Amino acid sequence: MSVPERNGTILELSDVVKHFGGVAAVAGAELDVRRGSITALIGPNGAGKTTLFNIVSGFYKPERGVISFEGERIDRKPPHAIAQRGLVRTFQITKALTKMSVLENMMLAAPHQPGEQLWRLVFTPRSARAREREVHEKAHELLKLVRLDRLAGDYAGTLSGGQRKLLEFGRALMRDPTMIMLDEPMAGVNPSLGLELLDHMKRLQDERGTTFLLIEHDMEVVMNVSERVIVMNEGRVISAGPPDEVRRDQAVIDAYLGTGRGAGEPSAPAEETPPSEGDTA
Amino acid sequence: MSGLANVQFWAFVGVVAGIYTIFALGLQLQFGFTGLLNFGHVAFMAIGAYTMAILVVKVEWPLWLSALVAIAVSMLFGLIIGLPTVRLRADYLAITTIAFGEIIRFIAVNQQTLTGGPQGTINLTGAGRASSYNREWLDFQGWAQDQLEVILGDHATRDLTMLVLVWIVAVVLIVLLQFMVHSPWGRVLRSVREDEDATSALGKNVFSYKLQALAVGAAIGAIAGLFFAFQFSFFSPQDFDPLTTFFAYVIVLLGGTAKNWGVPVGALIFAFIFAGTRFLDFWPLSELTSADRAFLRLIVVGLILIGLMAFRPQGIFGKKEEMVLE
Repeated sequence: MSVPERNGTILELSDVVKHFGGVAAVAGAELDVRRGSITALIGPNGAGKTTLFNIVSGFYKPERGVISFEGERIDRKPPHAIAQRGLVRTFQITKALTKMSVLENMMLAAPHQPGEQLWRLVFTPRSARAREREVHEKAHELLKLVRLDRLAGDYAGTLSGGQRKLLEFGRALMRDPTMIMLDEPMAGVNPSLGLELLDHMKRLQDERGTTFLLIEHDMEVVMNVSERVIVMNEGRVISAGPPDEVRRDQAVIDAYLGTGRGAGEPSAPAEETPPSEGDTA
Repeated sequence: MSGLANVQFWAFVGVVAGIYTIFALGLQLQFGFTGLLNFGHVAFMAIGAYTMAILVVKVEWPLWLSALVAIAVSMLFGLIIGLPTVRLRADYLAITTIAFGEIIRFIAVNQQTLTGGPQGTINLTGAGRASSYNREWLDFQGWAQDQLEVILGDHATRDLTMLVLVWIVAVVLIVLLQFMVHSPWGRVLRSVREDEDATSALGKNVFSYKLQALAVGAAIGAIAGLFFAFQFSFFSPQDFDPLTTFFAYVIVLLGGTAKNWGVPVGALIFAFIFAGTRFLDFWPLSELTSADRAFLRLIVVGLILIGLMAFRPQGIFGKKEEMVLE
């Protein structure tokens, strides 16, 4: 790998706590994500994975704990400031800007558009237009990648659930992030396209050293693509390591098969596949 | 029915439609494009008109300077009301902005030494001495009328001149807003309207953009207030009751939400309905007194709004397919 510092830590969480009412959604989570890695965050429903994403990306303020990204604390920063630092997330329940075109959804995400400031729009309209052309081109490139180029002019609200996942992924890439947090990126995406996206993730990882942290329930994807797996249960990280080690971890097996589940586990529809016997053997 | 053919009367209706166009354009930016449920928009109109009148009459500043400062003061109030409220959920923002509008009106009623009180700006220098802020404007309008006479001859009346001036400003604002909402800046505003979380997750400061939309909308509302003041040589707090804001909403919805060119069309329809009810003097309506008939217009506006929501919820210029997207 040509990218330096591949093994440094890019994101570090220590003792992060967040309650909803009496429920500790995240109860002292500790984890770190290595620079340039593809890391999977797994765990049963209600383990606190999405809450953790919301905390890291600034949407929830943690009650306690320290979060640092590239050596700087981000746990008191608002979401847009975190995104501007190069840490971008997608949403489990997609948030398409429905009354805007697919292309506009993409172009909105682009960083460094001087035309987004009124005074620069008035006084340096040329730089805004020049940047707009670059952004337009890049948006088309990425739309090709996620196979939405033919729908560029359509309202994003007309896209299917799977297509919206793809749009979110493309939109996140528009920001040239150093790290992307993907919340179930493959849910509803057709498998062959899903594999292409995984290839693209690996390519970005190789070429630019982009770091990926993904919540994923498809164990095949998790075991194949990620170098490291972090397992959460009941708001805590119960295991972390290479996929082979994690799948043999007794705590992980217990968490998925039900032993040791506490009463604090909120009930949720069982949509996920626990690691199969073959995986855990 | 003789009034129907009266050019002066319709010129007046056109002026009112022009003022309402400008007023509703500010709301279009805030509500139509940014999704801010501002129910106190009339306050910006009031602040614009009153600040100008007070500066001209009491501080004796020139009209143009006073008008510019009035716009700036209105923007400042947009920021002041926005700072604590803009983070609120839409319905709470609506409630607080109604209150803001009413606070401004009550200040105008009660701070008599500042505003002239309930009698209006005619009392600005105290009772018994009719004061006017309009002299410089009338000079300018006279000059504009002279220019218009070159083209139109005797048809160039005072009302027609005002009509032309108001609509020049309205069209310039529409073109400007059209450029702004389709710029990268406007793209962020529309994105805020669609989904605040998605917008901030993509690195845009939602709070700042909401404030900007509020401030720019406030400036446009103040411009409407200036023309309102110029058209009627004095005004009073009751000209700025909450109903005025609701009229602007009717105009925006009539023309189509987030459609700038829908605003003048909505405003024209609205103004013609409003003025047109006076011609409903045939039987059985002729049994009513003219004062009672004046209230018919509110009923007519209400019925049109109901019909619009039932049969064309997207407004005249809106796109039906946008209404069903989720």
